[in-house]
Amino acid sequence: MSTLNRQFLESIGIVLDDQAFSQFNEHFEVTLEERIMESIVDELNEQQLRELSELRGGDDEQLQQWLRLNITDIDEIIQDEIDILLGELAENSEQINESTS
Amino acid sequence: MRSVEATPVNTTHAFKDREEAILDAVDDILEDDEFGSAAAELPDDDDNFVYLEGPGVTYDTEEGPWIMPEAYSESNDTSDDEPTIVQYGRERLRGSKALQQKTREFAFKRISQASIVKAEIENGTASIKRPLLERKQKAEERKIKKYEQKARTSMFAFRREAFARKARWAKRRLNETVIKLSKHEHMFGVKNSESNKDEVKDRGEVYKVQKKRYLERKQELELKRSKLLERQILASERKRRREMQYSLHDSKLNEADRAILVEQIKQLPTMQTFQANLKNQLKNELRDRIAKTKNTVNNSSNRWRWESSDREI
Repeated sequence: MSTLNRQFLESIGIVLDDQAFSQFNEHFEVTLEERIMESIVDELNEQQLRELSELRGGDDEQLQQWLRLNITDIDEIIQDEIDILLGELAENSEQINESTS
Repeated sequence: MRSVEATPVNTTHAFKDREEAILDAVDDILEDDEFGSAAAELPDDDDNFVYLEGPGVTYDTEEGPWIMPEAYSESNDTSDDEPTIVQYGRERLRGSKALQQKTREFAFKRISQASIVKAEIENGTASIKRPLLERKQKAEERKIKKYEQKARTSMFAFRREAFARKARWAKRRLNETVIKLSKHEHMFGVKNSESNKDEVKDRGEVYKVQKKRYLERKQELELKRSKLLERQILASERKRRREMQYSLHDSKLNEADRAILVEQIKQLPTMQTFQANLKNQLKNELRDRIAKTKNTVNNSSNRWRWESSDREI
């Protein structure tokens, strides 16, 4: 299932065909995930970074537990990155539309 | 859309700074039990130390090269690459399916909410871009605060520099957003809140009137275009027929060709019939073009596009 939807994109002036939409959605998801990851890393102090790097061998559940304990405002971090990226789409809708048409 | 932020890049310190930093790091090692074994292996005062590329400070001892434990060598900022401790952290997060799923769920929910706002636009009660820009502005402001604080308090120099740089970038982005928001408000009025709902509703009415006027003017232009086209085609046809008549009197034309030409002229419909057919054809084309324009405008909530087109007309 796509994270973005065409109705939303069209409402901010971005009209894409099927292929362009699929590529754009993928780019959006990857960019968002990378930024959230970067933002989480930024949030950690040096000791926490060391602990996180030691979790490399652990499973996903361990990581989630660790994140819940160490980053209490992880939901806000994710929300902020989403808001920034959506804001960028709104800001640059005309250029995006031109470059994909 | 900007790309993912670049990873921090370390700067090179002067030799003296490095020496002091190394001595500080050695003090730290000696105070820390965890690094007791590493401390026992510390090089003698007589050993030379050299700087090699990559994370860590390498000592050239009598027994061979000795590399300072990684976690401490990072504090000396000796690498041109991002220190491993951050890379490992990022790598661990990148592999998390749960984090990926959470991100997508949040984004999906947020976009669905934005789409509900869009539905309100149809009634002229809200604008979708403004809330998106406002939320971005607030998020950027929160990030700047975080970056500035971390630029002051982070233990490692490379992180302090990276946060200072990120704060500068975020400020620049924030400025752009503030400018766009201000332009947006200039075009579409002030904030959409409960207190000015009537005002927003009024703007919604204005929006509908502008849309109607835009369509009327578009139709008027299409009609003019169609009439011009008709005149042009009729003029060309008359010219073509005149030339055929002239050719009949051309002395160089042989009898056989003349007979063919006479036959062609006979088969031509009268100008009245030609004009009637042309009118009919152009009328159909005009109807299709107007329907297409109506459809585009009515199905578009992108008021920016057609308002600017309206101004261009």
